[in-house]
Amino acid sequence: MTAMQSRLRPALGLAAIVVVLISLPYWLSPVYLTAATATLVLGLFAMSLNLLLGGGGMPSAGHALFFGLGAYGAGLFAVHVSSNALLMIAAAIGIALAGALVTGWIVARSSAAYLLMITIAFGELFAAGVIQWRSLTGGKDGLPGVPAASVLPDSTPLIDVAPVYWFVLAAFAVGAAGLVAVTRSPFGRALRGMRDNELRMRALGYETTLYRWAAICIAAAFAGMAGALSVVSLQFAAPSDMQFLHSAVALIAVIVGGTGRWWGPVLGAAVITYAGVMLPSSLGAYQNLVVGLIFIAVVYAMPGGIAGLWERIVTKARRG
Amino acid sequence: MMLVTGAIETYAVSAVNGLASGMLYYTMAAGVSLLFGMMNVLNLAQGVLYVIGSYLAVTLVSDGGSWTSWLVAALAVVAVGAAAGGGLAGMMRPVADGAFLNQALLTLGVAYCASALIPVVFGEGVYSVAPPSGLDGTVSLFGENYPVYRLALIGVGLLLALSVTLIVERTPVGALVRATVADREMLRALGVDVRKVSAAVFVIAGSLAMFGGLLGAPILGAAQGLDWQVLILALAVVVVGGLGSVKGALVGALLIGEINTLGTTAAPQYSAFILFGVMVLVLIVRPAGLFGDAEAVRTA
Repeated sequence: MTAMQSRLRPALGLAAIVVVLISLPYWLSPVYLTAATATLVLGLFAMSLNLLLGGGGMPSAGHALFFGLGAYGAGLFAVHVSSNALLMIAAAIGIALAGALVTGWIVARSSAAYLLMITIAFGELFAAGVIQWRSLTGGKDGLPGVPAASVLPDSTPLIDVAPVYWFVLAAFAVGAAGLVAVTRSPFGRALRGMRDNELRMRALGYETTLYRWAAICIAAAFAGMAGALSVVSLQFAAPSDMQFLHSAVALIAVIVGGTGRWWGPVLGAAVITYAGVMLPSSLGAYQNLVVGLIFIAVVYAMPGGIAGLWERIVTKARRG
Repeated sequence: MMLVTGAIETYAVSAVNGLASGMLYYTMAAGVSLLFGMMNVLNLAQGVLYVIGSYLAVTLVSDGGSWTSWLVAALAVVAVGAAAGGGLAGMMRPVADGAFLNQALLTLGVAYCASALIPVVFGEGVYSVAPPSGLDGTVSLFGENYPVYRLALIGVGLLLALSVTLIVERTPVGALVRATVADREMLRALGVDVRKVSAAVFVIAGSLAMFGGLLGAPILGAAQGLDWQVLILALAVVVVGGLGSVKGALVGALLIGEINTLGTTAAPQYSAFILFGVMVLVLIVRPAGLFGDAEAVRTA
């Protein structure tokens, strides 16, 4: 295989996937298309979590805090200021960043299990605050009356399943590209260095706490963006967006998909979302049970998730 | 604010309520704290164990709350809790030692499954449980009628905390537990089967959490979603109190219980933010929690 070919093949593969993704509304039923939109939202959210988990070795279990801040930021912005989708996303990123600057400053000083617990606690306490602050947020019933978003001042609002999907897909592409760029930048490499050997990085003069704080802020911005996309597609934000179970779902998506590749968490998100849609409705009560079982199975049988499995298959095939 | 209008008595009653809820948090937090301190295992299934204890109370305690039914329920939750704890310890075995994230995720997966099965096994409603007969009345406390059961709960909780503390700090078994917290490798080198010690703590933690669910059932009832609520409060307790310390778990539980109830009385709109603020304050001043080992925050 020449160097040219080895570079061309992934590019061609990616192009094919993009074409398929764009054409989805033409051959997928509305239920499955809505699930595709949900997959992209959860996928971007899980990817942002993977910047912390896979990139920085920070097992946040409260990442939904930033998703929720973004969702409420975008929703409140749409209710009170403007329902322009791009401005909603900007508002979401702004408020998620603000939340990350405050909480991240403390979270960055801890690690491992301690970090996991602190992040859970922060996410839950914010969610409780949102539930209590009824006059602004609508309390536990969620934020009411979010108008349908529009992309341009005079364009038709995003209501139908297909336009919503296309908008979310485009935004997802931008967000995913941004996250991949961060991961591959010198910053992303320094972060991985800290994950593998923090002492050495500190000895090399890296302000590790500062780097981790920055990573939390960046991940929060993209999680907030995912939250905004969720509001654009559902016209709704609820305290559960911010709560531990939502963080756990993202964590599961990352673990099922695998931390090693950027597309791992997206694949994990697809598995979780479609497992829910395709399960017969008679098994509705068991949906969480299935998710839990997938989770346990991955911990035991598939360390590295789907991406890890893929890696092993590819290595084996190359060896012949 | 509302502080002006609230009479001192109201706050006194809230403070007693805070003690009662603190005791409930303690039953979960003590197990979380010890398991983590000993084995670096973060057991996220404690919340679901608590709530199963509550549901067992719903099933076993009779309508009038007869003492026999309470005794049967108590024996049942302790036995089931011990079995569940043992099961969790067994499930942990194949997972590599020190792979703390995989271990935490495993307990999370178990909690997820158990939580999904609860409405199937116990039904979907919100249930309440009668306190033991004789404890279902009220006494006059600070000029208000106060449920006797809560006072009894505080007593039982303090007794539990006292015995756990005494066992951990004054008995040979407790010495083994503390030694595991301090230096697992050294203990292993001395020929102690650390896994047996940790399995024992898993068993005790399981019984304790389920017993907590039984004790809490007449107050908090049993409902879906309660498992995650109590888990989060238990984690807040452990973060504030410090990991690996039973004393920290008790102090943290009482502190979180008090802040939660007093905050709700003083400013119901903002009680969550008050709790959040106190947690942040503690973490800024003492990153390892009030009784925690500062090293643990970084190297755990």
